[in-house]
Amino acid sequence: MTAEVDQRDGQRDGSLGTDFLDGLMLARYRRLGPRYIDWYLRVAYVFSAATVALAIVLFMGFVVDRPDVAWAAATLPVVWNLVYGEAVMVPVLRRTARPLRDWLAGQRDEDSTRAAWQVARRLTFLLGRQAFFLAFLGVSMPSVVYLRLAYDITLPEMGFAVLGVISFGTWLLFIGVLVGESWLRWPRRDVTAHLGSFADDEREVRAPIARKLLVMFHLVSLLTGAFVGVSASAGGADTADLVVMILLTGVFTFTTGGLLAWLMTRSVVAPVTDLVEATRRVREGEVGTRAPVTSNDEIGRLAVAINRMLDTLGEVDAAVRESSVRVVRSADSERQRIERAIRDGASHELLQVEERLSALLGASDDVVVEEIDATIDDLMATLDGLRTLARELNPIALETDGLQVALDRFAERSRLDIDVRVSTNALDERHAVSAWIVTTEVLAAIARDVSASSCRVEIEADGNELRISVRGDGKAMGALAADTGFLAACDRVEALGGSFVMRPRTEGGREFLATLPQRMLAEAVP
Amino acid sequence: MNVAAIDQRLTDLYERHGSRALDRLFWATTIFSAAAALVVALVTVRYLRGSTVASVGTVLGLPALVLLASGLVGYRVWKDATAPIRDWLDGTRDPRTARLAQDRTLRHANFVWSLGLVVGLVAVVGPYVLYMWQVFALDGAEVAVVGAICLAAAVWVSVLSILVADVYYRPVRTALAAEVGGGSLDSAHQVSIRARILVSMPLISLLTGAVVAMARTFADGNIDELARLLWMSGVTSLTMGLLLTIAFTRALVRPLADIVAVVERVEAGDHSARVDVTTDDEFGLLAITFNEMLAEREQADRRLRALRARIIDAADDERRRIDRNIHDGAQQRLVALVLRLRMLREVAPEGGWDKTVAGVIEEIRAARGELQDLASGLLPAALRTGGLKPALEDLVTRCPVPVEIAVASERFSETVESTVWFMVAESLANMSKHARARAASVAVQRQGRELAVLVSDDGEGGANASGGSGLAGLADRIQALGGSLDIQSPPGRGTRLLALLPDVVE
Repeated sequence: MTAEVDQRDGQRDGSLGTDFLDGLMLARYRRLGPRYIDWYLRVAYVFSAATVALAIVLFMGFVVDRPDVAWAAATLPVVWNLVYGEAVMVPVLRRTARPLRDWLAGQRDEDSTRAAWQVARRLTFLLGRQAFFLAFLGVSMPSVVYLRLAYDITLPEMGFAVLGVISFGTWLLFIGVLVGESWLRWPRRDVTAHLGSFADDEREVRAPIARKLLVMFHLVSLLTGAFVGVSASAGGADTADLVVMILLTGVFTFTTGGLLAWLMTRSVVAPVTDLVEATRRVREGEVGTRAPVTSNDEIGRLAVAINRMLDTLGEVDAAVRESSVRVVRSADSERQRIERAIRDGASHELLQVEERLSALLGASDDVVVEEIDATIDDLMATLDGLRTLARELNPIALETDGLQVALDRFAERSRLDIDVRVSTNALDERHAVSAWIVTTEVLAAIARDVSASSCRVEIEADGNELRISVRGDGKAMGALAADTGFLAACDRVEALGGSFVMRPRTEGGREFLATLPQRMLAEAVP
Repeated sequence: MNVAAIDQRLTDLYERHGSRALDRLFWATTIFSAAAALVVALVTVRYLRGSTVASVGTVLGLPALVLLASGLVGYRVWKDATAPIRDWLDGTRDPRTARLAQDRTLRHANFVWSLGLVVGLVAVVGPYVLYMWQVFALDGAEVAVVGAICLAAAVWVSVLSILVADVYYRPVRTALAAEVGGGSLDSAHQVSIRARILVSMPLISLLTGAVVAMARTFADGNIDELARLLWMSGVTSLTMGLLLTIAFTRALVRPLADIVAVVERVEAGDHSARVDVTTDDEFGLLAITFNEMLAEREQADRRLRALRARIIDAADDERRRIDRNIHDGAQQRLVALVLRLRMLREVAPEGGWDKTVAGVIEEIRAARGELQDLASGLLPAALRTGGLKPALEDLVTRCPVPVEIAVASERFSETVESTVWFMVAESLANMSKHARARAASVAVQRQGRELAVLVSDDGEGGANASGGSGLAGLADRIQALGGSLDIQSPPGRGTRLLALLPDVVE
């Protein structure tokens, strides 16, 4: 595994819940790389050798009462398990799991990842099947036949021996598969994280819960039936008894075990299907859909958690939506204000000048010259008004004055005692305009608080972000939250992908601190 | 059998019988328990050969005891515990009842478990074992065997009842979940999947072992051999059976914990968190669907934020445009005029003042006209005072193309009115600039809580809301209000703009 890949996956280690066993496996996974897969099989065959030995020793020692040959009887299967496991199964595994091993070794293009995923999700099943045919039918069955020939056991006894070997072998197999499921959790996690999206056939449910439960319930039932049967035949049961027992084991397993498995399946699968359906509907745009909470178990809790998460996401959305509407509204009121300023200001004044001049037509030169003076004054006043309006509209003619000068001019007009320090001059126009609007809106909002008298503004920027800090000495902190101008400033900060906080200062008053990223959100999203 | 088909049949049952449908569940459970008790009684007397009268008494007495105990104690407790569910099923539909009913259906497993244990152990198993001990003079080992069989039967009946009740309650739970909404769970009363499987899988194994053991010993009634085989089956169930079950449940429910972890991270604000798909069962499918949902929500959120950012940009651009307009238009004119007047004041004009004054008036009028055009293009005062109807009628009279107009005289919120006005202004401006239309129409009409605005012309078409155009800004603005703008403008076949604004009624 390359160092770079290792590090990226390493960051994800907290993403799945881990318990003690997971912790052990994860440590192996990080250390072993591709060989982690082989170790799964090694653990499996060592475990099965140990279990087989234990079972045989117990069986010979207690059930058939031949402790003298117990260890000898256990030796052959144990040696066989170890030799067969290393010599046959590990190479088989290496071949079957090659795409996954390659992937773990660092071959991570799209096709390899997909192939690795296909193998990773099927590996326990494929191995189980191979183990069943090769090890189980090839090894266990001959030993039953050997029992029949060497000890001259009856056919019903042999039936239970077969049942016992099958259920014990299957039990071992399933333990192996289940350990494999836990074992493969880490590689599966990393492969899917690299996979991105799933094709339709990849989202097919290949190992439904129903099937797993059915197999498990049948297996545990058969297992006990077989062991009790073997024990009974060793205890001297006659042929007729054993036949009845075999039949009953089968019938009972498939009726009662089946019924219980079906009921259990329903109580697990139906709520999961509901959850899948609910998430699908949310995905398709019905964002108001909530998952039905129909059980007080892990799935019910998941449904509640998902619902709460959807509520939170919905609230975030609603807040953004509301702030968009506020943005539209504040743009509208701005237009209205400008409209009024022009109509009641310049436009009205010009109309008056026009009327006065119209009255001059035909008047004597002296009167006209005098009036021309007044007209020049009036027009100058109108021009001043227009310039003031222009300055408000486009406060920063950057090329000429820059943010510092513009804010200084704003400070002169304010009733507050404002100290402005802009320690950057490399702002582009959009940032400068935003900084101006945010700062002046906040200052205006503070000025509306009668307890405030002075403010200090600091604006600085580095390569990544622009920071605006406004520190005032006012007290009425709560009133700001309802101030339209202040909200507009906050909306703007958020809309540009920035963040803001308003906090009390230890020396009294409060500080507004906004951070704007240099690369703005609107550019990032098409 | 098909889940949906069973749900449907149960739903019909609830609709027909209301709360009495719940009684069926209770009596079915009770009768099933009595039948199980009958089997237990039959088995135990088979192995304990005592007086015939005692045997008959036991075989008939145990099920009767179960029926009596359930009927007398159980039914009252049951009725009490299910009262909110009954009320809800019988048509009491206030939110409080629904919440209570949901809580009760979800706690049903606890209820059966504790009731089964109280009724089963205290009222039935205890007296029964005591009775057997007295009548058949059992020794310690025999009491243990009988007690174990009774206990296993009681647990088995309870587990089965819980699982059957899960099926039986499902339609009620689904309906309640839809009514109550998000829901909450009381973690103290959780009956986890893990626990359900951990109890029932070894239990079924034990039961098979017991049945097989009895098949071997029922004929000769050899209780020692039975005890030996039961012991064997117990050991097998609790070692191999339990080990397998633990490994199985661990693998089964892990993916759920993974999803919960991601849910918590998303809730805490990490919107890029995704579930790793580690199984290919239904939980795997859930993980995939869940991830896709998160991706979709993240996209939607990003679109919404981008929309807001574009609106702010557009407003900034607008301010700059107005500034330029004033600067290049009225302001320039006035500056030039002032200079000219200053010059004229020094050197009187040839041919008298009248002509000059008239020129000055012309110039001032032109500047004023420009300013007025600019102002009325921003947001007309008429909109604020008189609403949409006069403002739009005024807009239409200034359009060079004849426009047919039908506007409701209703008033809406300022934001809605200005949005409609912008839309009409923008589309009429576009039309007169590009479309070469001969006629156009404007219709503003409220449909329920929605306001529909339709502007159409018979011009050349080809309008679109591509980036930077006025229509794009308009579409953003409408979208921000939660509405939609549909633009149909095939080349040569006119343009049709339809905006729908939701919730315009306060």
